[in-house]
Amino acid sequence: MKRIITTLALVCILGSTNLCFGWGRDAHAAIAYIAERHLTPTAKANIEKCIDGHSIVYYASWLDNYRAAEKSWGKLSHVAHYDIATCKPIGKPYKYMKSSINKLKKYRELPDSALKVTIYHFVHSFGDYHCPGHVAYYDCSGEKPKKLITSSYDIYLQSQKSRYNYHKLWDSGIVQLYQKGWGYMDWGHALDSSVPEEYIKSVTEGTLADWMTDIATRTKYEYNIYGRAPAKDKLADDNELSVVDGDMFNDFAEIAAKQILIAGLRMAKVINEIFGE
Amino acid sequence: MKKFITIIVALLSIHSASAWSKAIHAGIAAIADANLTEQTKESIRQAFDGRNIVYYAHWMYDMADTKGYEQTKNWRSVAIAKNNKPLKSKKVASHSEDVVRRAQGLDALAAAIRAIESGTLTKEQLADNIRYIVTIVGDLHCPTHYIFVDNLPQRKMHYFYNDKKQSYVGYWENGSIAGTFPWKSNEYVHQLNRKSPEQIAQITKGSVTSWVISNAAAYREIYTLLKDGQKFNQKSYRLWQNTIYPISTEQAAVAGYRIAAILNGLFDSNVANVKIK
Repeated sequence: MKRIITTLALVCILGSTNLCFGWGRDAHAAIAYIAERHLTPTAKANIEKCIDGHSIVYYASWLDNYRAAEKSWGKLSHVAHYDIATCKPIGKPYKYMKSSINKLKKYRELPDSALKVTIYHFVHSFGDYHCPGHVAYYDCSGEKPKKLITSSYDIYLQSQKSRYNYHKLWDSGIVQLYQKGWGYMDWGHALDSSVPEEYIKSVTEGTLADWMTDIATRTKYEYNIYGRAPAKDKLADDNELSVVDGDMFNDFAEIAAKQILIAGLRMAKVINEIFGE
Repeated sequence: MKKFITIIVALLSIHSASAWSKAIHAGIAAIADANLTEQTKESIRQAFDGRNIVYYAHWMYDMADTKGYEQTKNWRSVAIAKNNKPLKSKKVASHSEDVVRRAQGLDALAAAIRAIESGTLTKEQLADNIRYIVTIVGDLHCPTHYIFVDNLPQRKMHYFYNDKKQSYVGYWENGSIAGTFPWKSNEYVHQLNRKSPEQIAQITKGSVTSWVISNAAAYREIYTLLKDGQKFNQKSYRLWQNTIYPISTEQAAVAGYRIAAILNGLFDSNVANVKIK
Protein backbone atom coordinates (compact mmCIF):
# COMPACT_ATOMS: atom_id res chain seq x y z
CA MET A 1 0.00 0.00 0.00
CA LYS A 2 2.82 2.31 0.99
CA ARG A 3 4.47 1.64 -2.33
CA ILE A 4 1.27 2.38 -4.20
CA ILE A 5 0.93 5.72 -2.40
CA THR A 6 4.57 6.58 -3.06
CA THR A 7 4.18 5.64 -6.70
CA LEU A 8 1.07 7.78 -7.05
CA ALA A 9 2.84 10.70 -5.39
CA LEU A 10 5.73 10.34 -7.79
CA VAL A 11 3.39 10.21 -10.75
CA CYS A 12 1.79 13.44 -9.49
CA ILE A 13 5.14 15.17 -9.11
CA LEU A 14 6.40 14.13 -12.49
CA GLY A 15 3.03 14.29 -14.19
CA SER A 16 3.33 18.03 -14.55
CA THR A 17 5.94 17.58 -17.21
CA ASN A 18 6.01 15.27 -20.15
CA LEU A 19 7.25 11.82 -19.36
CA CYS A 20 6.07 10.08 -22.44
CA PHE A 21 8.54 10.85 -25.14
CA GLY A 22 12.29 10.87 -25.55
CA TRP A 23 14.40 12.86 -23.20
CA GLY A 24 12.08 15.11 -21.21
CA ARG A 25 11.76 18.78 -22.04
CA ASP A 26 14.57 19.76 -19.68
CA ALA A 27 17.17 17.46 -21.22
CA HIS A 28 16.14 18.28 -24.78
CA ALA A 29 16.37 21.98 -24.01
CA ALA A 30 19.72 21.49 -22.23
CA ILE A 31 21.17 19.65 -25.23
CA ALA A 32 20.02 22.33 -27.66
CA TYR A 33 21.29 25.05 -25.31
CA ILE A 34 24.72 23.46 -25.05
CA ALA A 35 24.75 23.16 -28.83
CA GLU A 36 23.82 26.82 -29.13
CA ARG A 37 26.69 27.82 -26.84
CA HIS A 38 29.09 26.19 -29.29
CA LEU A 39 27.69 27.62 -32.50
CA THR A 40 29.71 30.08 -34.51
CA PRO A 41 28.01 33.49 -34.81
CA THR A 42 27.34 32.83 -38.50
CA ALA A 43 25.85 29.38 -37.92
CA LYS A 44 23.69 30.71 -35.10
CA ALA A 45 22.42 33.60 -37.18
CA ASN A 46 21.77 31.41 -40.20
CA ILE A 47 19.86 28.67 -38.44
CA GLU A 48 17.83 31.16 -36.37
CA LYS A 49 16.91 32.97 -39.58
CA CYS A 50 15.34 29.70 -40.77
CA ILE A 51 13.16 29.38 -37.63
CA ASP A 52 11.74 32.88 -37.38
CA GLY A 53 14.44 34.26 -35.14
CA HIS A 54 13.83 31.77 -32.35
CA SER A 55 16.59 29.87 -30.57
CA ILE A 56 16.95 26.18 -31.48
CA VAL A 57 16.12 25.57 -27.80
CA TYR A 58 12.59 26.85 -28.44
CA TYR A 59 12.04 23.96 -30.84
CA ALA A 60 13.90 21.24 -28.92
CA SER A 61 10.63 19.46 -28.02
CA TRP A 62 8.59 20.58 -30.99
CA LEU A 63 8.40 17.06 -32.40
CA ASP A 64 6.84 15.78 -29.17
CA ASN A 65 4.38 18.67 -29.14
CA TYR A 66 3.26 18.13 -32.69
CA ARG A 67 3.72 14.42 -33.34
CA ALA A 68 -0.06 13.91 -33.17
CA ALA A 69 -0.70 16.64 -35.72
CA GLU A 70 0.83 14.89 -38.74
CA LYS A 71 1.04 11.17 -39.34
CA SER A 72 4.50 11.47 -40.86
CA TRP A 73 5.88 13.29 -37.80
CA GLY A 74 4.47 10.63 -35.50
CA LYS A 75 6.26 7.99 -37.53
CA LEU A 76 9.67 9.54 -36.99
CA SER A 77 11.07 7.08 -34.51
CA HIS A 78 12.68 8.53 -31.41
CA VAL A 79 14.31 5.19 -30.58
CA ALA A 80 17.41 4.16 -32.54
CA HIS A 81 17.98 0.55 -33.58
CA TYR A 82 21.29 -1.30 -33.42
CA ASP A 83 22.85 -4.61 -34.33
CA ILE A 84 23.66 -6.07 -30.93
CA ALA A 85 26.83 -7.77 -32.20
CA THR A 86 28.46 -4.69 -33.68
CA CYS A 87 26.49 -1.81 -32.10
CA LYS A 88 26.15 -0.34 -35.60
CA PRO A 89 22.94 1.56 -36.31
CA ILE A 90 20.37 -0.17 -38.50
CA GLY A 91 16.92 0.54 -39.87
CA LYS A 92 14.76 3.57 -40.40
CA PRO A 93 15.65 5.82 -37.45
CA TYR A 94 19.27 6.04 -38.58
CA LYS A 95 18.22 6.51 -42.20
CA TYR A 96 15.79 9.30 -41.23
CA MET A 97 18.47 11.11 -39.25
CA LYS A 98 21.00 10.74 -42.05
CA SER A 99 18.43 11.95 -44.52
CA SER A 100 17.54 14.96 -42.31
CA ILE A 101 21.20 15.97 -42.11
CA ASN A 102 21.60 15.56 -45.87
CA LYS A 103 18.49 17.67 -46.46
CA LEU A 104 19.86 20.38 -44.18
CA LYS A 105 23.08 20.42 -46.20
CA LYS A 106 20.94 21.79 -49.03
CA TYR A 107 18.90 24.03 -46.75
CA ARG A 108 18.94 26.98 -49.12
CA GLU A 109 17.01 24.92 -51.66
CA LEU A 110 14.37 23.62 -49.24
CA PRO A 111 10.92 25.19 -49.06
CA ASP A 112 10.43 27.16 -45.86
CA SER A 113 8.02 24.74 -44.17
CA ALA A 114 10.08 21.64 -45.08
CA LEU A 115 13.23 23.31 -43.80
CA LYS A 116 11.61 24.17 -40.49
CA VAL A 117 10.30 20.65 -39.88
CA THR A 118 13.68 19.18 -40.83
CA ILE A 119 15.44 21.44 -38.32
CA TYR A 120 12.86 20.56 -35.63
CA HIS A 121 13.32 16.84 -36.35
CA PHE A 122 17.08 17.09 -36.26
CA VAL A 123 17.27 19.15 -33.07
CA HIS A 124 14.89 16.79 -31.27
CA SER A 125 15.76 13.30 -32.51
CA PHE A 126 19.50 13.88 -32.50
CA GLY A 127 19.17 14.51 -28.78
CA ASP A 128 16.93 11.46 -28.30
CA TYR A 129 19.44 9.17 -29.94
CA HIS A 130 21.90 10.08 -27.20
CA CYS A 131 19.47 8.91 -24.52
CA PRO A 132 20.28 5.38 -23.28
CA GLY A 133 16.55 4.68 -22.98
CA HIS A 134 16.27 5.22 -26.71
CA VAL A 135 18.51 2.38 -27.71
CA ALA A 136 16.97 -0.86 -29.01
CA TYR A 137 19.16 -3.86 -29.87
CA TYR A 138 18.45 -6.35 -32.62
CA ASP A 139 19.82 -9.76 -33.52
CA CYS A 140 20.88 -9.27 -37.11
CA SER A 141 22.27 -12.76 -37.69
CA GLY A 142 19.11 -14.05 -39.36
CA GLU A 143 17.21 -12.98 -42.45
CA LYS A 144 15.30 -10.26 -40.64
CA PRO A 145 16.55 -8.31 -37.62
CA LYS A 146 14.89 -9.59 -34.46
CA LYS A 147 14.27 -7.21 -31.57
CA LEU A 148 16.14 -8.34 -28.47
CA ILE A 149 16.40 -5.58 -25.89
CA THR A 150 14.60 -2.31 -25.38
CA SER A 151 14.12 -0.23 -22.27
CA SER A 152 10.38 -0.98 -22.00
CA TYR A 153 10.29 -2.66 -18.62
CA ASP A 154 9.94 -1.75 -14.99
CA ILE A 155 12.53 -1.54 -12.29
CA TYR A 156 12.28 -0.74 -8.60
CA LEU A 157 13.74 2.68 -7.90
CA GLN A 158 15.02 2.58 -4.36
CA SER A 159 15.38 6.32 -3.83
CA GLN A 160 11.71 6.84 -4.62
CA LYS A 161 10.58 3.56 -3.05
CA SER A 162 8.58 2.88 -6.16
CA ARG A 163 8.20 0.86 -9.33
CA TYR A 164 9.49 2.89 -12.25
CA ASN A 165 9.58 2.35 -15.97
CA TYR A 166 13.20 2.02 -17.07
CA HIS A 167 12.58 3.93 -20.29
CA LYS A 168 10.93 6.80 -18.43
CA LEU A 169 13.69 6.79 -15.86
CA TRP A 170 16.14 7.64 -18.62
CA ASP A 171 13.78 9.97 -20.46
CA SER A 172 13.12 12.39 -17.68
CA GLY A 173 13.28 10.69 -14.28
CA ILE A 174 17.02 10.91 -13.86
CA VAL A 175 17.30 14.51 -14.99
CA GLN A 176 14.36 15.67 -12.89
CA LEU A 177 15.17 13.69 -9.78
CA TYR A 178 18.91 14.27 -9.76
CA GLN A 179 18.80 18.02 -10.13
CA LYS A 180 15.29 18.92 -9.09
CA GLY A 181 14.32 22.43 -10.05
CA TRP A 182 17.08 22.98 -12.57
CA GLY A 183 16.27 24.71 -15.83
CA TYR A 184 18.07 24.10 -19.10
CA MET A 185 20.43 27.00 -18.52
CA ASP A 186 21.43 25.51 -15.18
CA TRP A 187 22.33 22.27 -16.96
CA GLY A 188 24.13 24.14 -19.68
CA HIS A 189 26.24 26.17 -17.29
CA ALA A 190 26.94 23.22 -14.98
CA LEU A 191 28.05 20.84 -17.70
CA ASP A 192 29.58 23.18 -20.20
CA SER A 193 31.50 25.88 -18.38
CA SER A 194 35.00 24.65 -18.94
CA VAL A 195 35.02 21.63 -21.22
CA PRO A 196 38.56 21.11 -22.56
CA GLU A 197 39.01 21.47 -26.31
CA GLU A 198 40.60 18.01 -26.48
CA TYR A 199 37.46 16.49 -25.00
CA ILE A 200 35.25 18.32 -27.47
CA LYS A 201 37.47 17.14 -30.28
CA SER A 202 37.44 13.55 -29.09
CA VAL A 203 33.66 13.25 -28.79
CA THR A 204 32.84 15.11 -32.01
CA GLU A 205 35.23 13.21 -34.22
CA GLY A 206 33.78 10.78 -36.75
CA THR A 207 30.49 10.38 -38.55
CA LEU A 208 26.88 10.06 -37.48
CA ALA A 209 27.25 6.27 -37.68
CA ASP A 210 30.34 6.41 -35.44
CA TRP A 211 28.53 8.56 -32.90
CA MET A 212 25.56 6.23 -32.83
CA THR A 213 27.79 3.19 -32.43
CA ASP A 214 29.45 4.98 -29.54
CA ILE A 215 26.04 5.56 -27.90
CA ALA A 216 24.99 1.92 -28.40
CA THR A 217 28.30 0.66 -27.02
CA ARG A 218 28.02 2.77 -23.88
CA THR A 219 24.40 1.80 -23.39
CA LYS A 220 25.06 -1.90 -23.92
CA TYR A 221 27.43 -1.75 -21.03
CA GLU A 222 24.67 -0.32 -18.87
CA TYR A 223 22.17 -2.90 -20.02
CA ASN A 224 24.64 -5.69 -19.39
CA ILE A 225 25.48 -4.74 -15.85
CA TYR A 226 21.84 -4.42 -15.20
CA GLY A 227 19.60 -7.51 -15.29
CA ARG A 228 16.43 -7.21 -17.33
CA ALA A 229 13.13 -7.60 -15.56
CA PRO A 230 9.82 -8.81 -17.04
CA ALA A 231 7.35 -6.25 -18.39
CA LYS A 232 5.08 -4.55 -15.90
CA ASP A 233 1.87 -6.37 -16.75
CA LYS A 234 3.52 -9.73 -16.33
CA LEU A 235 4.88 -8.99 -12.91
CA ALA A 236 2.52 -8.44 -10.02
CA ASP A 237 4.99 -8.31 -7.18
CA ASP A 238 7.32 -5.32 -6.93
CA ASN A 239 9.74 -7.43 -4.91
CA GLU A 240 10.63 -9.35 -8.05
CA LEU A 241 11.77 -6.23 -9.88
CA SER A 242 15.43 -5.48 -10.28
CA VAL A 243 16.46 -2.71 -7.97
CA VAL A 244 18.16 0.53 -9.00
CA ASP A 245 19.81 1.51 -5.76
CA GLY A 246 21.36 4.83 -4.82
CA ASP A 247 24.81 4.02 -6.21
CA MET A 248 23.41 2.83 -9.48
CA PHE A 249 21.14 5.86 -9.72
CA ASN A 250 24.14 8.13 -9.25
CA ASP A 251 26.00 6.21 -11.96
CA PHE A 252 23.03 6.62 -14.26
CA ALA A 253 22.88 10.33 -13.53
CA GLU A 254 26.54 10.63 -14.47
CA ILE A 255 25.88 8.85 -17.74
CA ALA A 256 22.85 11.06 -18.47
CA ALA A 257 24.89 14.20 -17.81
CA LYS A 258 27.66 12.99 -20.13
CA GLN A 259 25.19 12.10 -22.85
CA ILE A 260 23.51 15.50 -22.63
CA LEU A 261 26.86 17.24 -23.00
CA ILE A 262 28.08 15.00 -25.82
CA ALA A 263 24.78 15.33 -27.70
CA GLY A 264 25.00 19.12 -27.47
CA LEU A 265 28.60 19.23 -28.65
CA ARG A 266 27.89 16.93 -31.59
CA MET A 267 24.75 18.84 -32.51
CA ALA A 268 26.79 22.03 -32.60
CA LYS A 269 29.33 20.38 -34.89
CA VAL A 270 26.64 19.38 -37.41
CA ILE A 271 24.98 22.81 -37.33
CA ASN A 272 28.30 24.66 -37.62
CA GLU A 273 29.31 22.56 -40.63
CA ILE A 274 26.02 23.17 -42.41
CA PHE A 275 24.98 26.67 -41.39
CA GLY A 276 28.41 28.14 -40.66
CA GLU A 277 29.14 29.28 -44.18
CA MET B 1 -9.49 26.66 -40.49
CA LYS B 2 -9.08 29.98 -42.25
CA LYS B 3 -10.96 31.74 -39.44
CA PHE B 4 -8.81 29.99 -36.86
CA ILE B 5 -5.59 31.06 -38.55
CA THR B 6 -6.92 34.63 -38.79
CA ILE B 7 -7.62 34.65 -35.06
CA ILE B 8 -4.14 33.42 -34.22
CA VAL B 9 -2.53 35.94 -36.56
CA ALA B 10 -4.66 38.73 -35.07
CA LEU B 11 -3.70 37.74 -31.54
CA LEU B 12 -0.03 37.57 -32.38
CA SER B 13 0.06 40.83 -34.26
CA ILE B 14 -1.87 43.09 -31.91
CA HIS B 15 0.73 42.72 -29.21
CA SER B 16 -1.70 42.43 -26.45
CA ALA B 17 -1.82 40.61 -22.29
CA SER B 18 -3.79 37.99 -17.90
CA ALA B 19 -2.90 36.96 -13.84
CA TRP B 20 0.14 34.97 -14.39
CA SER B 21 1.93 32.51 -12.17
CA LYS B 22 4.97 33.46 -10.11
CA ALA B 23 7.34 31.99 -12.70
CA ILE B 24 5.72 33.86 -15.57
CA HIS B 25 5.74 37.15 -13.64
CA ALA B 26 9.44 36.61 -12.95
CA GLY B 27 10.07 35.83 -16.62
CA ILE B 28 8.27 38.98 -17.72
CA ALA B 29 10.19 41.06 -15.20
CA ALA B 30 13.46 39.52 -16.38
CA ILE B 31 12.69 40.55 -19.96
CA ALA B 32 11.88 44.04 -18.68
CA ASP B 33 15.10 44.14 -16.65
CA ALA B 34 17.10 43.20 -19.74
CA ASN B 35 15.64 46.25 -21.50
CA LEU B 36 16.20 48.88 -18.82
CA THR B 37 18.71 51.62 -19.44
CA GLU B 38 21.64 51.92 -17.07
CA GLN B 39 20.16 55.09 -15.57
CA THR B 40 16.87 53.31 -14.85
CA LYS B 41 18.61 50.27 -13.43
CA GLU B 42 20.62 52.45 -11.10
CA SER B 43 17.52 54.26 -9.82
CA ILE B 44 15.76 50.97 -9.23
CA ARG B 45 18.83 49.49 -7.55
CA GLN B 46 18.80 52.40 -5.10
CA ALA B 47 15.07 52.06 -4.44
CA PHE B 48 15.40 48.30 -3.89
CA ASP B 49 18.70 48.37 -1.95
CA GLY B 50 20.53 46.54 -4.68
CA ARG B 51 17.84 44.12 -5.78
CA ASN B 52 16.27 44.10 -9.21
CA ILE B 53 12.67 44.01 -10.41
CA VAL B 54 12.70 40.23 -10.96
CA TYR B 55 12.93 39.73 -7.21
CA TYR B 56 9.73 41.69 -6.71
CA ALA B 57 7.83 40.54 -9.82
CA HIS B 58 5.15 38.77 -7.75
CA TRP B 59 5.46 40.93 -4.66
CA MET B 60 2.04 42.58 -5.04
CA TYR B 61 0.45 39.14 -4.72
CA ASP B 62 2.66 38.15 -1.83
CA MET B 63 1.62 41.29 0.09
CA ALA B 64 -2.10 41.04 -0.61
CA ASP B 65 -2.97 39.82 2.88
CA THR B 66 -0.67 42.22 4.66
CA LYS B 67 -2.27 45.13 6.52
CA GLY B 68 -2.21 48.23 4.38
CA TYR B 69 -1.95 46.32 1.10
CA GLU B 70 -5.37 44.62 1.02
CA GLN B 71 -6.58 46.91 -1.75
CA THR B 72 -4.02 45.44 -4.14
CA LYS B 73 -6.33 42.42 -4.54
CA ASN B 74 -8.42 44.71 -6.73
CA TRP B 75 -5.52 45.68 -8.96
CA ARG B 76 -4.98 42.46 -10.86
CA SER B 77 -7.47 42.87 -13.66
CA VAL B 78 -9.20 45.47 -15.78
CA ALA B 79 -12.92 45.86 -16.56
CA ILE B 80 -13.64 46.21 -20.28
CA ALA B 81 -16.76 47.59 -21.95
CA LYS B 82 -18.35 46.15 -25.09
CA ASN B 83 -16.39 48.59 -27.26
CA ASN B 84 -13.13 47.23 -25.79
CA LYS B 85 -12.45 50.43 -23.88
CA PRO B 86 -11.74 50.28 -20.16
CA LEU B 87 -14.92 50.76 -18.15
CA LYS B 88 -15.09 54.13 -16.42
CA SER B 89 -13.96 54.03 -12.79
CA LYS B 90 -17.39 55.05 -11.47
CA LYS B 91 -19.06 52.24 -13.39
CA VAL B 92 -16.50 49.78 -12.11
CA ALA B 93 -17.09 50.87 -8.51
CA SER B 94 -20.88 50.65 -8.79
CA HIS B 95 -21.14 47.45 -10.82
CA SER B 96 -23.37 44.69 -9.43
CA GLU B 97 -20.76 41.96 -10.02
CA ASP B 98 -17.90 41.60 -7.56
CA VAL B 99 -15.48 40.44 -10.28
CA VAL B 100 -16.02 43.76 -12.10
CA ARG B 101 -15.81 45.93 -8.97
CA ARG B 102 -12.45 44.35 -8.27
CA ALA B 103 -11.08 45.03 -11.74
CA GLN B 104 -9.27 48.28 -10.95
CA GLY B 105 -5.88 47.38 -12.41
CA LEU B 106 -5.64 50.19 -14.93
CA ASP B 107 -6.52 52.90 -12.39
CA ALA B 108 -3.98 51.46 -9.97
CA LEU B 109 -1.32 51.43 -12.67
CA ALA B 110 -2.11 55.03 -13.61
CA ALA B 111 -1.92 56.01 -9.95
CA ALA B 112 1.48 54.30 -9.54
CA ILE B 113 2.90 56.05 -12.62
CA ARG B 114 1.57 59.45 -11.49
CA ALA B 115 2.91 58.92 -7.99
CA ILE B 116 6.41 58.28 -9.29
CA GLU B 117 6.14 61.19 -11.73
CA SER B 118 5.27 63.48 -8.81
CA GLY B 119 8.76 63.02 -7.42
CA THR B 120 7.46 63.38 -3.88
CA LEU B 121 7.60 59.79 -2.70
CA THR B 122 9.60 58.41 0.17
CA LYS B 123 12.05 55.63 -0.67
CA GLU B 124 9.57 53.00 0.57
CA GLN B 125 6.71 54.52 -1.40
CA LEU B 126 8.84 54.68 -4.52
CA ALA B 127 9.82 51.02 -4.15
CA ASP B 128 6.17 50.00 -3.67
CA ASN B 129 5.04 51.86 -6.76
CA ILE B 130 7.79 50.37 -8.93
CA ARG B 131 6.68 46.93 -7.75
CA TYR B 132 3.03 47.74 -8.55
CA ILE B 133 3.97 48.71 -12.09
CA VAL B 134 5.94 45.52 -12.65
CA THR B 135 3.13 43.23 -11.44
CA ILE B 136 0.16 45.13 -12.88
CA VAL B 137 1.61 45.57 -16.36
CA GLY B 138 2.44 41.85 -16.36
CA ASP B 139 -1.14 41.00 -15.42
CA LEU B 140 -2.54 43.39 -18.00
CA HIS B 141 -0.93 41.13 -20.62
CA CYS B 142 -2.71 38.00 -19.44
CA PRO B 143 -5.92 37.65 -21.48
CA THR B 144 -7.99 36.27 -18.61
CA HIS B 145 -7.32 39.40 -16.54
CA TYR B 146 -9.59 41.29 -18.86
CA ILE B 147 -13.11 41.29 -17.41
CA PHE B 148 -15.44 41.73 -20.37
CA VAL B 149 -18.55 43.08 -18.69
CA ASP B 150 -20.73 42.16 -21.66
CA ASN B 151 -19.74 38.52 -21.38
CA LEU B 152 -19.01 37.59 -17.79
CA PRO B 153 -20.11 33.92 -18.06
CA GLN B 154 -17.09 33.18 -20.25
CA ARG B 155 -14.94 33.44 -17.14
CA LYS B 156 -16.52 30.20 -15.99
CA MET B 157 -15.47 28.35 -19.12
CA HIS B 158 -13.91 25.00 -18.42
CA TYR B 159 -12.62 21.89 -20.09
CA PHE B 160 -12.02 18.30 -19.16
CA TYR B 161 -8.56 16.81 -19.34
CA ASN B 162 -8.69 13.05 -18.87
CA ASP B 163 -12.20 13.55 -17.40
CA LYS B 164 -10.95 16.05 -14.78
CA LYS B 165 -12.64 19.47 -14.85
CA GLN B 166 -10.23 22.36 -15.35
CA SER B 167 -10.74 26.12 -15.41
CA TYR B 168 -9.86 27.89 -18.66
CA VAL B 169 -8.95 31.07 -16.77
CA GLY B 170 -6.71 28.97 -14.53
CA TYR B 171 -5.04 27.40 -17.55
CA TRP B 172 -4.04 30.77 -18.92
CA GLU B 173 -2.43 31.84 -15.70
CA ASN B 174 0.17 29.10 -15.71
CA GLY B 175 -0.33 26.20 -18.13
CA SER B 176 -0.52 28.47 -21.14
CA ILE B 177 3.27 28.80 -20.99
CA ALA B 178 4.50 26.34 -18.35
CA GLY B 179 2.53 23.51 -19.98
CA THR B 180 4.95 23.75 -22.87
CA PHE B 181 7.97 25.59 -21.55
CA PRO B 182 8.96 25.10 -17.88
CA TRP B 183 11.27 28.10 -18.11
CA LYS B 184 13.10 29.92 -15.33
CA SER B 185 13.29 33.72 -15.46
CA ASN B 186 16.66 33.85 -17.24
CA GLU B 187 15.31 31.35 -19.77
CA TYR B 188 12.44 33.70 -20.58
CA VAL B 189 15.04 36.28 -21.50
CA HIS B 190 17.02 33.81 -23.60
CA GLN B 191 13.91 32.67 -25.48
CA LEU B 192 11.75 35.75 -25.77
CA ASN B 193 13.94 38.83 -25.61
CA ARG B 194 14.64 38.63 -29.31
CA LYS B 195 12.77 41.56 -30.85
CA SER B 196 14.55 44.09 -32.99
CA PRO B 197 14.63 47.76 -31.88
CA GLU B 198 12.01 48.50 -34.57
CA GLN B 199 9.72 45.76 -33.24
CA ILE B 200 10.16 47.01 -29.67
CA ALA B 201 9.34 50.54 -30.77
CA GLN B 202 6.16 49.24 -32.38
CA ILE B 203 5.19 47.25 -29.28
CA THR B 204 5.76 50.18 -26.91
CA LYS B 205 4.14 52.81 -29.13
CA GLY B 206 1.04 54.51 -27.74
CA SER B 207 -0.30 55.04 -24.26
CA VAL B 208 -1.00 52.57 -21.48
CA THR B 209 -4.72 52.94 -22.21
CA SER B 210 -4.21 52.26 -25.92
CA TRP B 211 -2.31 49.09 -25.02
CA VAL B 212 -5.25 47.95 -22.89
CA ILE B 213 -7.74 48.71 -25.69
CA SER B 214 -5.77 46.81 -28.32
CA ASN B 215 -5.16 43.96 -25.88
CA ALA B 216 -8.88 43.80 -25.08
CA ALA B 217 -9.82 43.47 -28.75
CA ALA B 218 -7.35 40.65 -29.21
CA TYR B 219 -8.05 38.90 -25.94
CA ARG B 220 -11.74 38.48 -26.69
CA GLU B 221 -10.63 35.97 -29.28
CA ILE B 222 -9.07 33.55 -26.81
CA TYR B 223 -12.56 32.49 -25.81
CA THR B 224 -13.04 31.14 -29.31
CA LEU B 225 -10.10 28.78 -28.91
CA LEU B 226 -12.03 26.55 -26.52
CA LYS B 227 -15.53 25.11 -26.64
CA ASP B 228 -16.96 25.36 -23.12
CA GLY B 229 -16.88 21.85 -21.60
CA GLN B 230 -14.52 20.56 -24.30
CA LYS B 231 -13.03 17.15 -23.55
CA PHE B 232 -9.39 16.37 -24.14
CA ASN B 233 -7.30 13.27 -24.00
CA GLN B 234 -3.52 13.48 -23.80
CA LYS B 235 -3.09 13.77 -27.54
CA SER B 236 -5.82 16.32 -28.25
CA TYR B 237 -4.76 18.34 -25.16
CA ARG B 238 -1.23 18.61 -26.49
CA LEU B 239 -2.46 19.75 -29.89
CA TRP B 240 -4.79 22.29 -28.27
CA GLN B 241 -1.96 23.64 -26.13
CA ASN B 242 -0.01 24.17 -29.32
CA THR B 243 -2.60 26.79 -30.31
CA ILE B 244 -2.14 28.68 -27.02
CA TYR B 245 1.57 28.92 -26.27
CA PRO B 246 2.55 31.05 -29.29
CA ILE B 247 0.04 33.66 -28.01
CA SER B 248 0.95 33.46 -24.32
CA THR B 249 4.71 33.59 -24.89
CA GLU B 250 4.31 36.57 -27.21
CA GLN B 251 2.24 38.36 -24.54
CA ALA B 252 4.91 37.69 -21.92
CA ALA B 253 7.51 39.28 -24.18
CA VAL B 254 5.28 42.27 -24.97
CA ALA B 255 4.60 42.80 -21.25
CA GLY B 256 8.33 42.80 -20.53
CA TYR B 257 9.09 45.41 -23.18
CA ARG B 258 6.23 47.62 -22.00
CA ILE B 259 7.28 47.48 -18.34
CA ALA B 260 10.74 48.55 -19.45
CA ALA B 261 9.27 51.38 -21.53
CA ILE B 262 7.30 52.72 -18.56
CA LEU B 263 10.22 52.47 -16.13
CA ASN B 264 12.73 53.92 -18.59
CA GLY B 265 10.35 56.83 -19.17
CA LEU B 266 10.07 57.42 -15.44
CA PHE B 267 13.72 57.10 -14.49
CA ASP B 268 15.82 57.94 -17.53
CA SER B 269 15.75 61.59 -18.53
CA ASN B 270 16.70 60.63 -22.09
CA VAL B 271 13.61 58.48 -22.60
CA ALA B 272 10.12 59.84 -23.23
CA ASN B 273 7.44 59.02 -20.67
CA VAL B 274 4.73 56.55 -21.61
CA LYS B 275 1.46 58.43 -21.42
CA ILE B 276 -1.43 57.03 -19.45
CA LYS B 277 -4.08 58.07 -22.00
